[in-house]
Amino acid sequence: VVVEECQEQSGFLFAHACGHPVAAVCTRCQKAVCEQHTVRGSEGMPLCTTCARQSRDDDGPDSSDLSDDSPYFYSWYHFRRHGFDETEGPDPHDFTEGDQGVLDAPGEEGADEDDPFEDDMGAS
Amino acid sequence: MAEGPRCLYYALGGGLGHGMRSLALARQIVRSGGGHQLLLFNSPFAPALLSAVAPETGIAAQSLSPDAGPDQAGQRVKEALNTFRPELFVIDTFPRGLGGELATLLPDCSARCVLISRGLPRGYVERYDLAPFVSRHYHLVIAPGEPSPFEGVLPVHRTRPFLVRDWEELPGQDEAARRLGTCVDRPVLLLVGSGTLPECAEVARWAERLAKVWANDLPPLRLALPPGIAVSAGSVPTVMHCPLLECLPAVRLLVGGGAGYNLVHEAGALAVPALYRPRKRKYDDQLARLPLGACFADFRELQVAIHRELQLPRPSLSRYANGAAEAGRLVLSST
Repeated sequence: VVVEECQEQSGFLFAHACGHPVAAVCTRCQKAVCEQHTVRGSEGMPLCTTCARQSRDDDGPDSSDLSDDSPYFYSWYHFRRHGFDETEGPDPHDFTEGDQGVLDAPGEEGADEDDPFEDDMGAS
Repeated sequence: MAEGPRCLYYALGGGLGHGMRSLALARQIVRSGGGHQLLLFNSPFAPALLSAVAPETGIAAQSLSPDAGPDQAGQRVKEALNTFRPELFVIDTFPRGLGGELATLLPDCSARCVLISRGLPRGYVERYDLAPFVSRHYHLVIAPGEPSPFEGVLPVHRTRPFLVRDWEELPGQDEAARRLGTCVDRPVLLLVGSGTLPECAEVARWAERLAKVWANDLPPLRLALPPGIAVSAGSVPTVMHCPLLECLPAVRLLVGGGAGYNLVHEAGALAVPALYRPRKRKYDDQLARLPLGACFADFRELQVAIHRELQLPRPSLSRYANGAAEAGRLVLSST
């Protein structure tokens, strides 16, 4: 069976199938994953984000060579409610890019990066 | 009270966030330095903002029509600069103005300019070269409890979130309970409509649906809406009080129809348990504002989340420090 679409679940709180084109196979669980859901583990071996998280949880954040700025750890402008503790590492269970998809309901205000700005005096 | 700086506040933008953030800062500046404060806003929730400004001494507000375009808004700002003659011009969120209308005004503005810098989309910041623009025209940049897109590029002063009341100003739980039509030992589940009128109407529908299955031993249901809007939730009592922060001490669980700045930071400051339905906005990343486990996507998820939250013990109210007070001191010391 040839898997053409990423098998990773996208979005932590609102999980849904990712569906992006496959770019790698996880060396731990053999799940087919897209580029976005591929994380380079030890010695550069590809891991799916689930296994990468598991690896990080098992080994501790300092023992892994998974980069903290890997996109699966972060969405843009991630921050914590109680401030700006820069010594605190990102929470691997926090929101992901996939969660942003739930905000794309039809009729909602908002814009993609390519949409024009400064054209709506009711925006916020 | 008249001694002190004359401050003009540009608080244009939808919802209540821009106006309330500006009001929070204006109150602190009046308290510390007196003077005259004039707020400009164009929110469809103008009645709510005006009701919050009305009791304040030394603070006035002018509401522009929500339908006014950038040219009209720019004209009004220009008039205010010429007639009010502020020493300080405090701009919320949008360095060039919401419609770019400040880009031609700031080069000739003699007032010292202060930017209250909430998040903005990276694409907007880069496409409009906002960092050099801010560097050229602003004397002080303050990040009010959230990351600023200019941190790391320009000097930015971080503060805690701006709140429109200090902890010491809040009413007791008995007074908050009275405002919500309950008693101290029966804190409410408060559904809060905010953001836009359709979103307020949606929250009212949730309230009606919940009321149909709501057991009597659960916290009483209440719907909070900005004063002045015509939305009904059938049998669910509606509260129209601004600032809503004054009601939160009597809330068992807050359900936000959006995850705007005020609501999230007010509930967070008091440690009131809260659930939010984040909305997509052109300039505001509501999802990034939320703590883990605090959001839902639809009514079904809301029901599950309410059930989960009500199993947990009610936390004590938390004391908080108001970032607006810190910002007020920064602004006054910069003059």
